[in-house]
Amino acid sequence: MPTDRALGRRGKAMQISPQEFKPQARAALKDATLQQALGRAKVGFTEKRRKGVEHFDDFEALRERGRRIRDHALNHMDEYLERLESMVQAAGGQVHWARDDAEARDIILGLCQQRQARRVTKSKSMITEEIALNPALERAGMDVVETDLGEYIIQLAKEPPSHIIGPAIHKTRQQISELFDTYHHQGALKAKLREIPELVTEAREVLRDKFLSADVGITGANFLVAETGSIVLVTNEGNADLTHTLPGMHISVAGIDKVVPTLEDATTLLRLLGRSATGQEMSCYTTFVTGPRRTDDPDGPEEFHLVLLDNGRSRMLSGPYRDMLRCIRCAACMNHCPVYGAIGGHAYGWVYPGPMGSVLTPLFVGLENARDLPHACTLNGRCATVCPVKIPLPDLLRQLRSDQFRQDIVDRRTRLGLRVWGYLARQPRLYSLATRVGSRLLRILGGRRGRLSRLPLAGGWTSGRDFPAPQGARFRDQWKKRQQQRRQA
Amino acid sequence: MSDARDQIFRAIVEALDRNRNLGGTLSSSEARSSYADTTPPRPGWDIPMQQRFLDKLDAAAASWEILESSEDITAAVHAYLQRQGLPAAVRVAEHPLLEALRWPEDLTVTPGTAHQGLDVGLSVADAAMAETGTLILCSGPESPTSLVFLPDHHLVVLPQDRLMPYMEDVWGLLRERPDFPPRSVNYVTGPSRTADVEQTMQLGAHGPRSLHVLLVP
Amino acid sequence: MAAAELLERAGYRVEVPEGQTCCGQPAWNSGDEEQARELARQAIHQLREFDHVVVPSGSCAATMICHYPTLLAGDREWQDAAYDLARRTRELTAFLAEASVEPTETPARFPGKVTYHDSCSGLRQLTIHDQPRQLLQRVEGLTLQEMEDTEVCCGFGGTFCIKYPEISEHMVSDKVERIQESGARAVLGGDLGCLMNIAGRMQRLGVPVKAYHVAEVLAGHADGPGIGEKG
Repeated sequence: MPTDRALGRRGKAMQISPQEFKPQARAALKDATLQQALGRAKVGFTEKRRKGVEHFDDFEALRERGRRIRDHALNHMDEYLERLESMVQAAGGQVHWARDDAEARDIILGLCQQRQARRVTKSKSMITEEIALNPALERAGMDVVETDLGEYIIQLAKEPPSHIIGPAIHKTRQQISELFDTYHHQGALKAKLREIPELVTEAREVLRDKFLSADVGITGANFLVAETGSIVLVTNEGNADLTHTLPGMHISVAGIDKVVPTLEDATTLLRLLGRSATGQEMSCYTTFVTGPRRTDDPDGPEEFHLVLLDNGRSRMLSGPYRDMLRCIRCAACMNHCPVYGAIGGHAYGWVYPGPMGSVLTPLFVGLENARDLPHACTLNGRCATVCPVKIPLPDLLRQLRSDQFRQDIVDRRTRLGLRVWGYLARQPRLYSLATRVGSRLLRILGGRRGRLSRLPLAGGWTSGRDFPAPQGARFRDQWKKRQQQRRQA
Repeated sequence: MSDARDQIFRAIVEALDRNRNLGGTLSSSEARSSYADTTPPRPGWDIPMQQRFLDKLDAAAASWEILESSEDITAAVHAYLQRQGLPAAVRVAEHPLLEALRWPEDLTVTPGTAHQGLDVGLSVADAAMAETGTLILCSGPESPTSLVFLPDHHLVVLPQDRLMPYMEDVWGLLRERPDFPPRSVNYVTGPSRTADVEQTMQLGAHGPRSLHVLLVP
Repeated sequence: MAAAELLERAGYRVEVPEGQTCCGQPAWNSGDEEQARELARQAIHQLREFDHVVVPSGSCAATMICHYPTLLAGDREWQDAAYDLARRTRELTAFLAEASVEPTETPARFPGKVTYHDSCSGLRQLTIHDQPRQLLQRVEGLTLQEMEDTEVCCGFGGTFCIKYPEISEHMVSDKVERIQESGARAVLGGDLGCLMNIAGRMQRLGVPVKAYHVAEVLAGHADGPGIGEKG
């Protein structure tokens, strides 16, 4: 059995390192095991979504409705949050407001201490990663147990999630076998590769005891329904339900952006979420929780607390990044991102990876602390075409680049390069001369092979590719010659 | 703490005011009426609703049988336990439909919530939807939530008049309950599963490994 | 040159304005909006008198069609002109497919299997997918063998491939594998950036597949060396 302490520590989880994107990405590309896991995940997720969407008559109309629901909810966020709060209170729950991550941590820690909690079970929640909750609870001596199988695996590995719905997709079966051997069998199995059913059953048994002995259960929320004061929890494993049903206290943590008006609105969004995330029409378990156990209920927690977190979201509500708040955290963007597919989630350096993360991270941790993220994208636009709520992710990334440029958060070489190029491009004669000289130079460099395997100033390109030297005369010169010949003829 | 609340609301209202003053951003497509008055896009089917439901149960790896009368529930439960090689014991929800039954003597039937190591639990669904083959169970004295998640095998009785086409219809039905909303409305589609190890689907993650539906008139 | 010939054959008089430089895409994508705006104005001015502006590159066409109007929105003097240019501008294969001129001369020949790489800007911003395929049907002897992931980015991404060469190389390697799996003898595309990227990787790996701009094949000029090969 794992020691409580070993389970509790999350090592790198809370480290913020988006500024280390380049070295992290490079390391990821060289990690053969990671590459093996990523290759499998890439095909798996895109194929599942394709099938899920294929079986829906008019998925485009569904996306449009999803967009409108989210836009409407955001435009009336104050009204819906007020309604949500009063309905949660009417059901016997308490609502707490947190301006930032520190406030949220303090509130949750206080609640756990009030309950004299020794063991806390958690159901996968990205927002608790955002507020770095686990280390705070552990420092206070609590045993924090992640119960989603993927989260549990990476908790054992002392790693942060690498994906928002498949936190352990970067792990292979061999690695999981080794982790379970170390923590469940003290190495007695000698790292033997084991079958998937065996691993799942073992985790189920280990975690059963944790569920039943937990004092507090912490979940996130996929949506908040203003109409009824309900939080929506979506899982396939059923771990969220064991987390909120068995302990005496249920704490749900959610961003203020998660609010939607009605149960029917949540219904439409659920149709989008399952299909976009895993290709499922409906996840195995979708639960609407409203307040604590009622007086004549045979089970359920005595206390229900909803912690609503701002942490920069109200700031995003006006301005160019508002569209990002529509996000329902389905992960379709990263599943379809070729950059994510090449490097995985850890390289992005913070809680949210892939395209949605490259937009959110700079907005949460500051443009200057995540310089690379807006640029680590080819603007190929595949993410935007699969986004269930039509977030124009490439446009937002370009906007971030523009903000960086304006605030002078651009490396000197790029700025200089752009300035020289821009100057030339605005002087047609000079541009023409420069390209003529340039292409002749390249042709000479290319020599007889007609291509270059080293190129000054673009060493990156030529480390893995040849650079095609221009063929024959420049188009402009050929064109001029041809027109002259025609005139003469 | 009320400071935090006030400050967050102030920030939201200011942001929304800024948007309104900019104009344009608050387009008519963002009004609630721009979508709420029309039927949402949702999957259709051209087979009888019950058939759709049963097909979707199959797809979700749940099993089912159709009973001629609710009196047949006891025999069906008994047969299920024998088929699965399970001990003759079942934990049942304190639901009037189940309490009215006359259980055979060789079956140990105990009412109440679920506990560690429970093999079989029996509940009555409050609704179901054909759209996705989903059962809906509302927490309350007649339906403990733990019974939905702790047993290895979950058996669920579904009175056929509770089968609705879509989730929207389910909300319509549930809103009529005097105790609505209950603490927990559980939408259950097949047995528990995970794909967290190498993207391979495996049943029986944390919840039941098997889900068996008994349709009664 | 192949593009110009195709247009002439379709019955159009083709001009290449002196003083034309770049559409400004690198600045726009790097966040330098001011510079991008200036280049947009320059291009709009230079192209003001043409009935049609045909661009043999999906990403440049997308910049002019989709992004100039955004860039110059609110600029009273220029925004209408930006829309007007967007209205007149077409990507080459889209233009040719729309013009649907009956092939008058002997059609081009290109015997063998080819595969087509959908460049991202053209595909997603201008919905160019069927047009090049439709045009390629007219080429004698040509069979189009679709590869897997034809709509997945090749890793070029303008400045991306210079800033993150290792990631870009990983992506283009995937692309080259897909091309090889298709069994095609040539890969065609509508965007020079992607083609240079793919050709560069193929040549480094010694993959005997040629890369051509789709216009070269359509014009019957693809009998020579592929992109990046010795001319």
